[in-house]
Amino acid sequence: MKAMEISMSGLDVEWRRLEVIANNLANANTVSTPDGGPYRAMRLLSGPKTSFKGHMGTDASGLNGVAVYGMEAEDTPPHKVHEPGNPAADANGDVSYPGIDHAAEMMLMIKTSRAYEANLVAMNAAREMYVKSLDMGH
Amino acid sequence: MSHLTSVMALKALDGLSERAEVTSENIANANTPGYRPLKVSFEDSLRVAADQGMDAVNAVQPKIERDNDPAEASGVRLDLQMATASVTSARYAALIQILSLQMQHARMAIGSN
Amino acid sequence: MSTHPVAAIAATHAVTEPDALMPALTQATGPSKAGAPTHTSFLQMISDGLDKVGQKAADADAQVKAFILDDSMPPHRVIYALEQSQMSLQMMLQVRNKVVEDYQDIMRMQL
Repeated sequence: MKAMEISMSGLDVEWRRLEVIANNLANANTVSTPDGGPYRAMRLLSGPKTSFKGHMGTDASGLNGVAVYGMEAEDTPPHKVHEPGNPAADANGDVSYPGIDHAAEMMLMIKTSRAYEANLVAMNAAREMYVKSLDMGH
Repeated sequence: MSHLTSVMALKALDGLSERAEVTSENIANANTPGYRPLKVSFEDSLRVAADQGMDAVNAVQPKIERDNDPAEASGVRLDLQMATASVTSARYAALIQILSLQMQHARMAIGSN
Repeated sequence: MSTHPVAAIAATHAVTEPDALMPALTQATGPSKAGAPTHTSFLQMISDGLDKVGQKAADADAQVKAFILDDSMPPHRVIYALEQSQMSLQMMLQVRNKVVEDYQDIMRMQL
């Protein structure tokens, strides 16, 4: 049933978004990465799956749910803390910590959890309809 | 329950199925930047068609369009969408039940003589 | 004659002289539709009924196929079509049984 599949795609996307947020928080103090420099906060990019024609309100064939497009790093500049003793300190004794906005990450986490729950509600509602239709006539 | 009423019930079920699909789509796009919610309408056209007879009712199709309700102006309102999903599911179940009773009735009429 | 299973069953109990038995049989199977001619061939009526059964069965079959292959096919439509198909078949079987019963009664009377 299409409604269920659409909701499932939403569950998948939000779950993966939560993982990215969790990873950001876990790496809030990672000052050096294999690429050099401090960890950069990542954002999951998502949107409608495949074609966009469905959004002009033609018919239901354009409704395909959502998908992950990829990830991109946030532009936030690292914040410097003066720690001359730290092996990662630069010439000035400053250590660059990841520019992670904790408040923003928490807000996004809440928003994402809510979206996840909402997708679950929609999926269950659709499944109820499916199950009820099988009993028709009896 | 007349044949016209059965067809109306089926058309309403069609509309409610579409609405479930569109609501799932809206919720799935909760975090899509710039997404405009959609909605399904069929009740008004079904009401008008009911007064015009069987052909008009048969021609009714659910319509998917952008939701211009000011409540949805700044993106997907998850609470309203969830409410729509629940209500749609309940109405669908009710119509299935009603159609079922009509079908049982018809089956009994055939069985007896 | 079609090879539809219901037709085959009906054929094994075929009335040999339908027109002679017409009045009793039309009376036994219930009132005709308003506006329909009063002496339509009875076999024609059965044949039309069987066509309708076949049509509904084919329609239900097509919907089931569509449902299997395409997840966006609404289940309520498929199940409704299957139920309609079953009910029209039951209706025809009831008619068949009534015809057979009445035919047997009439045959008994003649002996």
